[in-house]
Amino acid sequence: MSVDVKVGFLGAGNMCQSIAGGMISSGTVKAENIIASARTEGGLSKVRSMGIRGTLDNCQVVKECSVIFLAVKPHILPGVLKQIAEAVTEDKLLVSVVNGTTNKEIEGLVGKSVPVMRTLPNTPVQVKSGVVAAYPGTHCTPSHTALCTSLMEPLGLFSILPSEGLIDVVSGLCGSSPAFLFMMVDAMADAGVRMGLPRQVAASLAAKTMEGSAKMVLECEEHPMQLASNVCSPGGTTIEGVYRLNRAGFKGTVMDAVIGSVEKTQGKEMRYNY
Amino acid sequence: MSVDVKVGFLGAGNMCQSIAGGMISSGTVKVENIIASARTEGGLSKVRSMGIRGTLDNCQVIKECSVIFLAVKPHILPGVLKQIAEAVTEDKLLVSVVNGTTNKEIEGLVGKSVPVMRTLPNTPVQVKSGVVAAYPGTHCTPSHTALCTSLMEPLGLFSILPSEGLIDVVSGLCGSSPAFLFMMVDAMADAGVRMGLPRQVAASLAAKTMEGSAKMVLECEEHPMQLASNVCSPGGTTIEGVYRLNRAGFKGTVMDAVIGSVEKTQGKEMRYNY
Repeated sequence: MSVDVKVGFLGAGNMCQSIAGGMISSGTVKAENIIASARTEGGLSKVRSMGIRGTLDNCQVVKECSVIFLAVKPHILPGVLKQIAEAVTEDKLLVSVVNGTTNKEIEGLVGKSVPVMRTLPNTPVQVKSGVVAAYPGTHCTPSHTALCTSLMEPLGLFSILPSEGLIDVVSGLCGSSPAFLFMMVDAMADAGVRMGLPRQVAASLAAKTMEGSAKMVLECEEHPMQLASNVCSPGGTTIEGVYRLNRAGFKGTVMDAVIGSVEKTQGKEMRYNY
Repeated sequence: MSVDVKVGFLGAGNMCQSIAGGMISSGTVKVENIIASARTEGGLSKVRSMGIRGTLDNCQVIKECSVIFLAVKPHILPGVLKQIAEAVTEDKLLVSVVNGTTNKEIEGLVGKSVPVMRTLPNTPVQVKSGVVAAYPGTHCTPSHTALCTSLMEPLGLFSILPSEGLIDVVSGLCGSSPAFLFMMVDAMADAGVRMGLPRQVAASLAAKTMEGSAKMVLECEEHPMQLASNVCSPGGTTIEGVYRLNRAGFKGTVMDAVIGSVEKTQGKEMRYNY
């Protein structure tokens, strides 16, 4: 579904490239309708190779575009917002992909009643299978939400959360968990190698199995544990593995990891028994 | 890539439906070129609703088709093969999806030098994101392998293994592991719920994160542990979760599960410390 807006990015790094790349390849926004800013010409070379226009002038991006993505590092953001504040008008939409920065902080730094949408995309947006969690700021209307949804859906699952605070939870569940899943794939591959499969074969088979299993959870209406039960035939080979996972407290360990990442995001003190 | 062959299925259950469904929806084989047999008219209703012709006569399937899938339960297979042996000619290709039955056993029961391809599809073939591991029998030529590949690729990743014995390994790695992955998704969702996300949101976000992470492993050339390291920023939230997994021996537990399933498949004795 193509959208006829000019889209700007403050920041031309990985996040800009992933989001803009998704917009372009899905036909949602034409490359010529996208402009990005960076601090150096070198920082613009990648986006320019994608057909996106580049500039060193943040204010130019804000003036030309109706939707502007804030895609700079958190410590850079306050300076950038102060710089562009005057150019921002209340008919624009600011979409933040800046980690840990609230709608209120952004609204405060801009100092205008501009609509802001806070989002948290995760790493797999780069393969168009990501999660983008979002929460609208004070001045967002349903049509802003709908616009942002159209622009970001090409990246994967776009999800408005019940409250802004839950973005910290998604930071653990969707932002950090890819690392845990990469570890699981690697452990599966190691097991395959240990039992005689060549590494490359084991790694591909493990990753494809993970992809397909996730797809089943997404597409089938049954509870994941019902899907697990469905594949455990009586006295069979699968329940043997399930037994080993249960004995080892596998699900508790996974919960520990996700919860640990969330609590770290929330600034809680980390305590361990040694 | 469409293939102009008549394809038959002995057995019209889940496996037949998944494989035939993949062939039809990918345009590889026209539905009118597919016929399946079952023991009762009731057993044919599902495939007929897909547009596939059904019969109670196994020999009719053999006579009409050049590629025949053996898709019955292991204990049914010997009787079926004896029944159809006479009708089998050496210009046909038998593709077995019968669990635990070797090429040699099938060749012996048919009693002819017919090409046989042993395959092991896993559960996610039903969402076209499965793994099909395979090993060709004595009389398979490269063109039989190519034909089988074309027919089964719509289901996901088709992989000829270095040896037939490794099919038992893939049984654990790809056949059983979906259960372990469903458990991981459920544990991730539980963690999200514990930290305040509604169940449905947590479950979708967890499953999509798993799908996207697997897709990154499949599409990026880097080692999974390099991908994991890439998302662990210094002193950050992700490495906190990784620490918890490492302390708990997460990867060892996952290896235990896969290895346990493989060894059970191989008929080894299961021993545990209690």
